Amino acid sequence: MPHFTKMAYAKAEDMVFGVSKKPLSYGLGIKVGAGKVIPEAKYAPRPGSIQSEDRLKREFVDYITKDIIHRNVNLGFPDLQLETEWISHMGTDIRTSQEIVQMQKEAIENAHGRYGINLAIRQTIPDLREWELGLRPGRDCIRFHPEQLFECAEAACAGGADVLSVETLGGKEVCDRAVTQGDIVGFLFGMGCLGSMDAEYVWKEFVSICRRHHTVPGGDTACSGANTVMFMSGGFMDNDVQKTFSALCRCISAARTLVPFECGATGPGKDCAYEGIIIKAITGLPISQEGKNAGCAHFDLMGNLMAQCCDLWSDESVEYHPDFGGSSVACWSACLGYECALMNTASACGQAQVLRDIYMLSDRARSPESYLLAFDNAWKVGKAIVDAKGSYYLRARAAAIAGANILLDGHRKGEIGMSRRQLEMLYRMIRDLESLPDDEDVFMESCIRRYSSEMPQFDPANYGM
Amino acid sequence: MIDPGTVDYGFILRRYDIESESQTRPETVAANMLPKDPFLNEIASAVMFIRLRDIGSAVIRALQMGVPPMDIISKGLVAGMEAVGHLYNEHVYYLPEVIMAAKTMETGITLAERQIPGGRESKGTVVMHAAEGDPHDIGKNIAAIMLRSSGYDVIDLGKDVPVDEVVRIVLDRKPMMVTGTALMTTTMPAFPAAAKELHEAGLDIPYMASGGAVNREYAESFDGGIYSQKAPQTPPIADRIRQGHTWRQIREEWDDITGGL
Amino acid sequence: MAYGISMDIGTSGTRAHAVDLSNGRIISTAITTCHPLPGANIMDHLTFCIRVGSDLAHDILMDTVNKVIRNLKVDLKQVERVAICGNPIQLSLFQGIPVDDLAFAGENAHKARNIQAQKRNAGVFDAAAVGMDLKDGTELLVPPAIRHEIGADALAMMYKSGFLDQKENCMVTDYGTNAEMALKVGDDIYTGSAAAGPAMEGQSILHGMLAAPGAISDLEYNFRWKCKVLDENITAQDGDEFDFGLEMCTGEGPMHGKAKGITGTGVVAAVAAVMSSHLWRKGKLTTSDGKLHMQDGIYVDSKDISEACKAIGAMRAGHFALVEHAGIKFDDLDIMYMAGASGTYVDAAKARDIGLLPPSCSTIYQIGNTSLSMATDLLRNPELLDELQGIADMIRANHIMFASDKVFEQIYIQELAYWDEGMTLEMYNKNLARDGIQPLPKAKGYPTVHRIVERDIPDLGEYGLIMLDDIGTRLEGSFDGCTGCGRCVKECPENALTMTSKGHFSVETKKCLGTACYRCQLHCPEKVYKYDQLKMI
Repeated sequence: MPHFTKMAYAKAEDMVFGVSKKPLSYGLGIKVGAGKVIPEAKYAPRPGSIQSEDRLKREFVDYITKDIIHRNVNLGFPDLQLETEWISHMGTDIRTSQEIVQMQKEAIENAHGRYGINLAIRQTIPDLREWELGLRPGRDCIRFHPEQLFECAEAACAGGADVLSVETLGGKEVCDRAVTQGDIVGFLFGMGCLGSMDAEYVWKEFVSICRRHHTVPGGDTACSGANTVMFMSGGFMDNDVQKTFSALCRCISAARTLVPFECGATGPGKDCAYEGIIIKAITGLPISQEGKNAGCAHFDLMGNLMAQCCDLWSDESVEYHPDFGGSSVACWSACLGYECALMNTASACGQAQVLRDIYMLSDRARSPESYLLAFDNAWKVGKAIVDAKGSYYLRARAAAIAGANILLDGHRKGEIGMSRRQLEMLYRMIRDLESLPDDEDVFMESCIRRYSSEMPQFDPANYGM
Repeated sequence: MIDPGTVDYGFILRRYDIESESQTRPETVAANMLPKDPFLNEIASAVMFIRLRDIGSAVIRALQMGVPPMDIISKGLVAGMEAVGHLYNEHVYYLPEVIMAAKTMETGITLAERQIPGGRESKGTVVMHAAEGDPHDIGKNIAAIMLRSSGYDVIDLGKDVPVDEVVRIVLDRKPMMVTGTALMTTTMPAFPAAAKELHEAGLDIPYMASGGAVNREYAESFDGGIYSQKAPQTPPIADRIRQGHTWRQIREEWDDITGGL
Repeated sequence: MAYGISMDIGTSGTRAHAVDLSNGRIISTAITTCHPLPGANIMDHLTFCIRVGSDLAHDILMDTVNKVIRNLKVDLKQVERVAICGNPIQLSLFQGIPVDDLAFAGENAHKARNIQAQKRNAGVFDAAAVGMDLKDGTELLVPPAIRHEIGADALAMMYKSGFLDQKENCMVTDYGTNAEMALKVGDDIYTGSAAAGPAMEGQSILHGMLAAPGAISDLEYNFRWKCKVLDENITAQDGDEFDFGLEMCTGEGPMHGKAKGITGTGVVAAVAAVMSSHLWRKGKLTTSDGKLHMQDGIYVDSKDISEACKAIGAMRAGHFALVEHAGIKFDDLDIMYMAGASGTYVDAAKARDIGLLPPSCSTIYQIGNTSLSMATDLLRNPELLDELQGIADMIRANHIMFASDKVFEQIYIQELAYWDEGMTLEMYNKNLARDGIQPLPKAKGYPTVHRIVERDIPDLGEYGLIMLDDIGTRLEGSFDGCTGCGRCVKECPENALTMTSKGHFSVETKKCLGTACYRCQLHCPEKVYKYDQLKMI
């Protein structure tokens, strides 16, 4: 498997929204990274709708899918991507899920035929695997979740998904513990090593499933780790998890989210863990990003900044219900469409770089994490990853150290303010990271020993070790 | 201010409303092209919207109300079919719908015609056949439907039709045009043979050669010969002949007549 | 040493093996890549017979046959036996049997010309007597036709594929200009022949060519489309990679700069790519210039795709009509045998995606050239001839004449609208439902493809393959009243016609388009050029 050892973008300044080095075409006329930012609408059915198959189908297809498409046609948006993030129930009732996928595909085909609107649909399947039971096929003999994961991928592709994504949760058992304990080495091991190994295992198979069905393998995002830690670090009233910790977790997650693309995924990458900008800098592949328009589901301190270099602009888990302006999914997707129109107008006027900088500057100083994700700094983190040229461990560690140095430097220059506790955490993390061995085997052995004793159910065999 | 003239709005938005206005819709075609008279409108609508089950009762009702049978045909049935032709040219209707609509129209014509002493007048008569020794007549059948639906009478001699029979019937019925279809190259020499006999008998009639075996060069290699590449081209060619254009003129105008079809 | 020769006389070429009769081993293989008669399809060949003469057609074919067997690298004096196979037209041309019953269909035409239908049963003849350069008395084994319209080639595809022994419902098709097809349900066999046209063999395609170095033979899907280009050994190698939706080249391959054209299998792949990328709308390619650009300036345009779609439509309508006549549902049909060179080399999954085989078929066998292989069986075991006649007599074949079949017509009209006018599959099925015809399902899942042979001719023998590019048959003549103006030579689109001296002409038959063209004769200003007066030298 080839690793990325070179930056797709020679310099950060070359990156802008709507354009990527390796654009893609798929679905019904969708061209991503080829000049235009495209809205990506994401939604969730009401909790009660899983009571019957028919209600769930109606909720997804007749209400959600059609409402969103109609709102986009009504407002004159030329392109739209839909993303169905399967609710966990769908991961076990795969037959119904495949029917929903087929019905959604028919709905977009009909709309494309009738109105000419360019459409595509991403299916993001759920990873229900439980580490206590086993992460790989043959290991979980109670719920068979690993087997189901691959069945879901097959069903989504066979049903007509244009793009396949998943949020794999390899290493989550270690990450969850590390986040609560402020243990960056634990997060490095859990996300940077175990998460990468699991993603490799899953995505090698997913890419071949996608190839068979002519579905675009969109990629993964470290939602379960990096998004969780961002949520826990919260805003200025929250102090449980330090934002410098959260920021370095994101750098580590970027190294892990690179893996699916090394296994053959082609993008557009997924958005939930906010590491996409680093991925784009390294790979040149188009990315989906979210920020202010995902406020209904996520909390972040970089609502504008995230739009800086996106290729798809996305909302998040909009639960279907009536609002004054129509259904919730229609209203939120309208916000997406207008934001995309703004970006595309900037591109059409030759002002894309200006708008990019304004988006970025409006949040650059808001938090250490925002500062690190500003495209110039994100590019540097990417550079550290490719320069490490080696193991999952070494490049994840390099990403974290690079992130720490950028923050330290920014603080020294007065570009980014930090609280005392944020700084203390930063120094502690630097000390911890720099004292780690350079030899991957030594690191892995000591971690396995440590987590096996601290967590009796931790099983390296889940990762093929 | 940024000059609005420099902004490519097609890049940012799509005016689905303006686009849909320029798209032909059956309803607007119906409003513009179908007769206003309620009885004739019902007949024309039945053809246009392919309501095979309703056409009989619609025609009978109009006859009972005293609408002249000639009007039922020309202002009702044919008007409905003209609307279908328009929708077909605008890519709203497809070939199978044209065929179904034509069947609907013909059902109506059969009913109305009975009430016309001496039969009805049409735009003209065309004799059609597939060559002797050639069983392939799908193309001819489609072209026949399209001609009928454009208001022409078609005498369809079927397939595997001997040259003598073609000549005999054409001399007898004096149509405005004769067409021959061949999918097998072995059978197409029947066309120049028949055309020659007709011309020798003093009938300077356009002889349309078509079908998979025939190309334009072959069709235009004998006196009287003109070409039709596919069925939808046949009615506009017939229209020109009806306007008095000779087969020599049709050859000159061929690209112009068939352009875009 | 006693040798035998087995031959397949095909519309697009002749293929032959020399076989050691003592042990049945194949010694050598010789093929031509074209037919010596002017024209590209059997209709052209028939027309040549009717207009120019069957005897001359027979002589031209035998001239090629003799050139082929002379290249087999065995002493022809030691040849004891010959076995042939092919479609009824080619076998009749070979044997010198009248073909007028095949050239005209319909009672009127037969009556008017006093045509007798030929039996075309199995038989043993004298190879020297039909004109082969072999010693007198050399046995010539000719396998039987099943019925008038279903030739020995159709029997071969049924016999050699395992189709006849298959207990499940199954279908077999010999993919060629004329696609012979058969469906077996229980003991009943339904046959038909769809005039697919030459697009599937890369002909009538702007940049079309036969399988040769530099031909794009496939497009491999790897999230983008990678050209596969044939190298000097006719092996497919990686070429450039494209995102057709974005209309851009996304990477160069080792075969960059080496593509010269596209084969029939490449055209199938192009259609699959166009459909998969949703670039076909209302009978036109939706790319900015209406072309699908592949590497090195090779492209297919809307007209090419349309030609291919017509062929696909004819085949799909044929398969569909057989399924309807047999009274089964598509879901009851899982097994498909694909015969012929095109049927062997095409990517079966892509072929199914675009409609070249029924969408329900998920067990697919690619079985190669069954005609040559049955002829070779016959050569090794002459007693097989009686057995084959027995099988031919036993097959309860219901032949569906598509040309006059209402079910076929109804389906074919939907196919035309689907490909040319952009009608949806939903409407396609709705229209068929009105006539009580079952819906055409979408292809589901991924088929299991059994590639039974690596090449259409799996065993070439120890001397390997000898290809005859230059058959060298010429027709010559001069005409009274000819002024030697050379207009005919200028008009010839294939440069097949030359003026060897003033007023004396020579036509290279394999290049000549024959009756589909006739521009030489049509454009003669003195109206003295008469194609049918040309003679073989």
